[in-house]
Amino acid sequence: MTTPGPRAAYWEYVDSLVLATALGTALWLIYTRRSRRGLIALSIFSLIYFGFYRKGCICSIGSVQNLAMALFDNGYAAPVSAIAFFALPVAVALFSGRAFCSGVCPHGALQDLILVKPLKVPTWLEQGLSVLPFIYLGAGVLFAATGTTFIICQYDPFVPIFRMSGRTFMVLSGVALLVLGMFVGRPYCRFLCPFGAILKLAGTVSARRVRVTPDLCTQCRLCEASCPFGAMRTPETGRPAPRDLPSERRQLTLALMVTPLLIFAGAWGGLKFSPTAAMLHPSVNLAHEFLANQGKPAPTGALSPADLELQRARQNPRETLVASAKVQHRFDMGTTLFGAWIGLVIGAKWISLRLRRTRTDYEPDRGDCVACARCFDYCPNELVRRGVISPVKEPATTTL
Amino acid sequence: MSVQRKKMDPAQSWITMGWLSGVFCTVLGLILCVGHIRTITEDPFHSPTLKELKIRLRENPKDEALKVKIRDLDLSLRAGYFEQVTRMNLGIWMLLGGVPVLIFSCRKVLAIRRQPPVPSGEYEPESPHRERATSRRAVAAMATLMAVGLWGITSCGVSPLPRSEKQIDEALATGQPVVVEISAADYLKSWPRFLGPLGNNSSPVANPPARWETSTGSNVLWRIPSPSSGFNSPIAWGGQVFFSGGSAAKREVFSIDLKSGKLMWRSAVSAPPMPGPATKKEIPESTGYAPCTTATDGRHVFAIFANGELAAFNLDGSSAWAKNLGIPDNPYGHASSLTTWKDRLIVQFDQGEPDQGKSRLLSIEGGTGTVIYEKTRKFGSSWASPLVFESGGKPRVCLLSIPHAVTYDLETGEELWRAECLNGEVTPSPIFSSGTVFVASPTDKLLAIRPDGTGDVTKTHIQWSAEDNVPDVTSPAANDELIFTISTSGQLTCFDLKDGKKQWEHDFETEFHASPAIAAGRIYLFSQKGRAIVLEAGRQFKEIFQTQMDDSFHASPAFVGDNVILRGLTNIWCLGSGIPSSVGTAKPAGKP
Repeated sequence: MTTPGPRAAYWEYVDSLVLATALGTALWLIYTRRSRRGLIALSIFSLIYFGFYRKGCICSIGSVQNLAMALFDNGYAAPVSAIAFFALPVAVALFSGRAFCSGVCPHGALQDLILVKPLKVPTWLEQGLSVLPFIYLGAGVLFAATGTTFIICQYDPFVPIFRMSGRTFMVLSGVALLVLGMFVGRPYCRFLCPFGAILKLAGTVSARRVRVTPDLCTQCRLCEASCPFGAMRTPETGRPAPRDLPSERRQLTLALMVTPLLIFAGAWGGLKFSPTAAMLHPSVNLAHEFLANQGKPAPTGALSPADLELQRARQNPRETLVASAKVQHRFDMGTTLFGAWIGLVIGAKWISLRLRRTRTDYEPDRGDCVACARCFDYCPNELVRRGVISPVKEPATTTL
Repeated sequence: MSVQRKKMDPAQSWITMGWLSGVFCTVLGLILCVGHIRTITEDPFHSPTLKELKIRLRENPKDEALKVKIRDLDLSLRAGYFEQVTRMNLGIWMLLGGVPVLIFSCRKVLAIRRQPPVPSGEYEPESPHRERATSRRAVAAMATLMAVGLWGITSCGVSPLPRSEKQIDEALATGQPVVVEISAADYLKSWPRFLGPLGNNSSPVANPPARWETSTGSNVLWRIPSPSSGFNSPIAWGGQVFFSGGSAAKREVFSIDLKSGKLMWRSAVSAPPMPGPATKKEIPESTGYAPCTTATDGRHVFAIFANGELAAFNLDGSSAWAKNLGIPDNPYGHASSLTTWKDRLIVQFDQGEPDQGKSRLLSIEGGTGTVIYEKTRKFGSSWASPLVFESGGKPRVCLLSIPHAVTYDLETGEELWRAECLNGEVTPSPIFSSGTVFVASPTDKLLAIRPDGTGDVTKTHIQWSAEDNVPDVTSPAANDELIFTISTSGQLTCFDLKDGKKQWEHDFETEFHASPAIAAGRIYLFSQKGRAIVLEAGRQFKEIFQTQMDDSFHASPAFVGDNVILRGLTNIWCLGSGIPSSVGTAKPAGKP
């Protein structure tokens, strides 16, 4: 993949400023103007600027890794733009939901704009796949914190499209995801995006939330199927029938008890995964190559970068193995935590699917809603409020 | 006849547009896929035909027709590749134009035909709970799937790597021999480069014989016929003596066992073809292909030849790497020797005229041949060798070229200071002693320069200069108090190191090309006609020994342990105590 060349330092601030402005505009369009068209225009701008012009770098999705690496590697300082691209969308999500996803993220914008005929993903499949972004987030942090690689960037399916070049596999993945995205709303955002996972958590506790209408919900059910991303929630009764109550309580208690076990099991499995994961680190891989090639003659002629690395390792074999050992120890800790994280994600999801909620209106899920503003146009009360349609006058009743 | 007007479908034009753009995008997408595969398969870097031709050229480097064929093929491959890339870029832009039209058309059609939502059936408030039950099963299935996947990856069978000190020791013990760490003491007791370990033509620890007799073989450990011709001087490391030799047909490096005089290995250089178009520059016979002294970092031996071939060999003679810097544009042929610092190889590759910017200073990773930096120098041809020294705890390298002595930060290649002090054809190399750099402007001046300056230090850091009997070919030799020079005509002169005052001079009336060298408080001189002279390295002229040897010396001596290594035009000599060896091609001492 062609990596964009370095740019003047002031561009970091320009990008951050553009991001802040775009986020502000998104908030204004979602909450004040409640304009789907405005968000489409913002999506087109973000796609052109953050996507095709900035070639998908820097982007908020990858910035998680910059911060993880900066936290664990004293020799690495996260760039200002990486900090801004992480912090601004998260801060906005904490107060006002996923405005970043609505029309500022170029990945989301691209998928949103190509959506032609959205098909409903079955709820069970949606819920099953919804744990993947959290696990991908954990993996991204693990490999960045250990200084291995930025896997989220390396396996980003849309960056090759923005850069119009890349590895064949990634180009095909991007194209396949786009074709899928014509019929399944935002597949990457919903089932893979690690930054979306963070924003989902932030959005869940956000002070302000997107509503179909700020007025009264008449439960006309017209917005029931309006969300192509499966974020519309229907009214629910919070309490089960009395005969189901003991059974549901037992099940919830069991889920609460099983979660710590899942965490421990995950940690144990993670530790077992450590040697394999560590092999992705250049130092460990070099040590492996060095040991595998012991006694073999050194290659001559024009040397590949891998040959050169091996030659260096042969100059300092002890240094190579010591460096590898240090990384392996770091991976032991990292993969253990990663495994525990997987256990926690599964357990938390399991518990959340056990909980009953009381909901009286049709409303978008705080965490899942990407604030695309599609549902606004489905609500007759909203259309009346905006003056698009006239309120139906009640026929006058006559008394005999 | 009544004409019935068919009612026009409002979506029809968008359907047509959708079909057209769909076909356009599909065809273009297929073309791009084929093009993408072509750019991968027809990558000029991986052309099998080109590779084969290059291998053939390596076997037969003088095949001009083959070179022309390679250039033509390379040009056509690259031209084809870039044409393809241009076409691909154009295609991608066209696709970027077509896809939005397709999407927009489809959305328009769907918007026109969309039916307003009509909620069906009665809403059941319990339905979300039922869905959750199914979802829990899906999450459980996902968790199981991941566990199985991770278990599968984990059990792929990654071989365990050492983690503890003990495991590392075991891994190293069972593998290839571990390279011994190089200490300062190893360096001092060897002669790892031209000018010796200290860069002043002296050895602080060697104790070579003060006398020897070629007729009786007394103190002549061995001598062997030189395996290959060359004017380069010997270097020594770890019981091995290294030289290079070469002709137009073959350039090689060879190693001789210090104790026995036995040829341990000789390895030919297999550098890749010269970069750029073939040139017809001649290598002058007066300097030959191997005038540059080799250098070692204790793990490799490095050699550069007058045709620009640069090679590194492991100490067992196996090739580590080789590259071709191209034939230097030098009227007398390239003669600057190599030097090392830690694991780096330093190459002074001066050539051409100052304004041409052809001259370069290269720092190369010794083990791999990776160029760490390559600095262009606005200087012309030079024949002096680079001097590596430490100043203020930092490594420096001093290079001489008319009219400047220039010192660079060795780690970064940044210029630190320069002194305008040189005239003529710069051949004597700079030396370093007692914290001072000494440079000889041929037959003009000997200068002492303090090395702690920055910028132009011509007026500020030249401590002294002397004008008596300044050499034009040989480099000076120094101990902590005195500096000795010998001119080509045989004038040996001794100066005080601190103030440059001449202590004494003596005319030996014979020609010298070999630099003087100091060990065990004695100066050793070897003339072109085979005269060997040993003197006390003191403030008074005191000759200890003089003899006539059956050889002609142009190369400077090297000291290691109790031995002096000499390279004559016909023989390689090892002077020192011990029983004369009669191994291999070694002749009994005293009987040429």
